Amino acid sequence: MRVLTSMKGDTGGQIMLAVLAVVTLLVPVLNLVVPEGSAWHISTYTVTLLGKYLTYALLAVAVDLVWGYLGILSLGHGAFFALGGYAMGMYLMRQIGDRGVYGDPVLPDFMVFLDWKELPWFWHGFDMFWFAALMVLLVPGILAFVFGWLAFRSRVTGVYLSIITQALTYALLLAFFRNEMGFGGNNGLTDFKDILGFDLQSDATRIGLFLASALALALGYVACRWIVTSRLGRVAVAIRDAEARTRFIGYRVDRVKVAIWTFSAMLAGVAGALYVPQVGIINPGEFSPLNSIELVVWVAVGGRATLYGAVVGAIVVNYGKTYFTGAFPEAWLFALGGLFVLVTLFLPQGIAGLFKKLRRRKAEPSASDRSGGSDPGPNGEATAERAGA
Amino acid sequence: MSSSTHDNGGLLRRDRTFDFSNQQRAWLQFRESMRRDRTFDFLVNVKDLELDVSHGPILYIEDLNVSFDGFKAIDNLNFYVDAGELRCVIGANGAGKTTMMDIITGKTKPDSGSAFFGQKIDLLRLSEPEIAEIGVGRKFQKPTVFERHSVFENLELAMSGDKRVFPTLFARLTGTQRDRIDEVLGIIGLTEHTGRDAGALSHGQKQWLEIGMLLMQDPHLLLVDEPVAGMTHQEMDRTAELLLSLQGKHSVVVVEHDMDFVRSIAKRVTVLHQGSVLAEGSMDEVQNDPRVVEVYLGE
Repeated sequence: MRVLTSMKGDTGGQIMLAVLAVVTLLVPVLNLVVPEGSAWHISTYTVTLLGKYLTYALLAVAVDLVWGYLGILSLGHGAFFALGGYAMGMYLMRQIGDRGVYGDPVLPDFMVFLDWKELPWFWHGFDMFWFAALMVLLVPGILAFVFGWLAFRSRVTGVYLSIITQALTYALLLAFFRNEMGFGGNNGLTDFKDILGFDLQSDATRIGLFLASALALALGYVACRWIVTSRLGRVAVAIRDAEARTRFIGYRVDRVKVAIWTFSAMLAGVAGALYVPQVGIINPGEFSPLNSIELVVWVAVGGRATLYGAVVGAIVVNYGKTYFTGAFPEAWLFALGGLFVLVTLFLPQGIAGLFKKLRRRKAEPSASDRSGGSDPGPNGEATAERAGA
Repeated sequence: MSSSTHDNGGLLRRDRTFDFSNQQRAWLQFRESMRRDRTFDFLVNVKDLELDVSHGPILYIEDLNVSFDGFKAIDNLNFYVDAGELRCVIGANGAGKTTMMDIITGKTKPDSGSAFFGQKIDLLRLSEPEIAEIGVGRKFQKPTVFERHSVFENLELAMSGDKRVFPTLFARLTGTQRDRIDEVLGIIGLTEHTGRDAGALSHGQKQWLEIGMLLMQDPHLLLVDEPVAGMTHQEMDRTAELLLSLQGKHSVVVVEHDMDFVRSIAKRVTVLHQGSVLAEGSMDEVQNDPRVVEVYLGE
């Protein structure tokens, strides 16, 4: 019940979910039923691309939950995404079995290549899907819990926290580059064959993964929405706006932060786990600090503290990225940087803010009394300030 | 101490027990039983944390001394507040007003002396959050409300209750809680603004909201630091009404510089000077006291 009421008043979210539902229903039909020659046909490549965008969108929602509502600017969420991805990648590696280049029934190719004789202890269990699925949640979750417990208890906030999250993902990047770590070094994990017995190359499996991503996004969105509309969500915003005051009226700020932060990391892990089978590879590049910064840009472009804005931002920016890197490969980073500057200066509340403004103008053309407090002016400045930090 | 209105009309809930969890209770009990100066006191139950105001005063401060690096901020201070009383404290800068508040709320520990809340609760042995929990609320000078939350939500967040993570996640407003919020909205005069963002309120309204947030925690004793600083005359009058409406149900200690304001609300005024009480009585008595005239009001 409360899940339903939590969607009330979230017009943007309702529209987003409706569009998502329509796309989710149409894409399989257009891909599988409509013949390939038709103008309406959607290629499997596009399906996979869309599926990838959806996992990015889920990741962006996870970031918006901690950045928009809790005021924690994480520059390391890519790490949780990659860890979820690695957990899934390990399962997919074990699924290859003796079909690898070296034909070893147990050891993945890179271990045979490194002349390892037996499976490292942390690879055990990953031949079972349920275990891998559990690890997708637990590995990012436990790392986030320990990291958060240490950081928030010591009251590390603001820029300092952002910097150590960035350091966290960078440290993991360096660690995963090492062959001795046992995660395939800089090549990462790839050459996946099938998932749960379904061939990863088949159209039907691709559609299945796309549907799973859409479902995960919808559920993740509703879960986050449920959290932010609960009293805990209001406490989170209170922490964002006046942390000391929240502590003073009796809330354990550190525990609230750890709880939401950990949940967000697990969500990012799920996104990563759905991403890997669709792109077919996971390597340490996913830990790169640049990735984590990029995804903060998605959220900023979409509009902070709206959740649906994060979805829109992730999809718009990534579509732009796909287009730009195809058309003008060298220009992409400049375009991304320029976009961030433009959004910060002129669109501090992102696309969602623009959408809200238009709606308000339409709804009450002479609104001046009621919207006194939630005027875009002061809010906008505050957002810009934070985004700038 | 000079006697004054001992009868507070039975408005104070003397039978109230505090919402200590079993764990806290056990810890307090343990700590109590380890005190060397009270060998057999562990036989006494922690139920003593019930507020006992049967003799009148809710706050007893006796022979208190605090010094900071040799400077005597509080010098042999004796100060009593009756249950349900509205007391104003005035004094020049450095007279020890804020230090006294700090001691009552557990922020500062004194060098010697005693501070009791009711007859049985020794404030000096409780921590800051514990003191807040047994019903001593403090409003700081600068109002800090949650600007992006509505007035209603501000009060909801401040409400006393289980504030751990999961209970908060699943918390829903009960009818009585809603009524309580509505009641406080009425007391602080913000009923019409209930849905408004707190950030959109005027300075005065924010101060009242902050007092409302204190009231949501159901305090017995309210310490209010300079409530009318920066207010217009109209807002001051409204604040005076608000504070006057609290007396009886709550005991209120107001620290204020504005003499007109103090005159408009105070039955009893305490003048602090160099860390001890210089004079105490009605505003007229105090104002005509030659010592007060000399050190504070005069010249």
